[in-house]
Amino acid sequence: MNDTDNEVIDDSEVNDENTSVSDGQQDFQADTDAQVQDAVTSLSLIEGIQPENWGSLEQGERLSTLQNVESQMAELQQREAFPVVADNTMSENEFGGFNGSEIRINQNHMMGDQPVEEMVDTVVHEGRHAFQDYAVNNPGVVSDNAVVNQWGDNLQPGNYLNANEYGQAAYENQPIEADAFSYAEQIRSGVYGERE
Amino acid sequence: MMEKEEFISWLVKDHGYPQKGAEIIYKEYLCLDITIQEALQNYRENNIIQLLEVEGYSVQTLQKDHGMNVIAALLTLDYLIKDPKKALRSLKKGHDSVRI
Repeated sequence: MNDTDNEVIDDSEVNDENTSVSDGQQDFQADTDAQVQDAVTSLSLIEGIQPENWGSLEQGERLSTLQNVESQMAELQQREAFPVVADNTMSENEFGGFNGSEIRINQNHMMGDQPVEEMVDTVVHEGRHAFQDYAVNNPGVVSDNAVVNQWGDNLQPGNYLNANEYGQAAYENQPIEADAFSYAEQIRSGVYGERE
Repeated sequence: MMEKEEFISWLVKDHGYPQKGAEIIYKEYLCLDITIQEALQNYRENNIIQLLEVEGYSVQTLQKDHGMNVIAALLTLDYLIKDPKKALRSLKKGHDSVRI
């Protein structure tokens, strides 16, 4: 084999590696897009989250409706569904939380001053964190290893940048929050239309 | 300008930030709008919170309505100066917390 042959083989190997990385990214984006479309279709069929119905629901009915949203999202994401819990200790601008065992939502928002689309957005957003955690702990669930590694690093103890200590920009730009905001916004706008 | 080690030590010892988090804030500090940078320096050296208002937000309103500490509030005012449209939309959407 001469030098020219070696060069050809080397180029081929490099191209294969590049193609592999690119495929992972493309698959992740395609999977996410498909998941968003399925979620919009599925959630649009839930009568309780239609604005004209939400207003007449009692607290327990609202919570069970939002639990239904989480259950459907969990099924689409092929992960465990988590209990949705109303929390009356959250501050005015704290919308929700995920702690690995439950999804918390702001009870005052649920019972009064936020439209239903914001509540759905919050449950989907927190559910996306559940999916990120699931993907980190189950290699292969998400095809793009770079994304999973970013999520895994961000979820390590001490690496999450909460808004209360690091400010709004650092909070919203960290990998798991940027992804959750984008994902939930796509689904919210698909169900309810673009924000005014 | 504060020395890096002093600044990080202040964040870790006086405000309970982890080392890695303190280093992140120090990097942000170096790029802050000069008004906010001076306000943060004044807070560190004299424990004085300057009266600043950007796009209707102040340190006090961010503390009260968004539960931020003074450092986070000042960083957020910097965000409001540099990208007001995005920052206002983000603040309206609020925040959550992830603790796994």
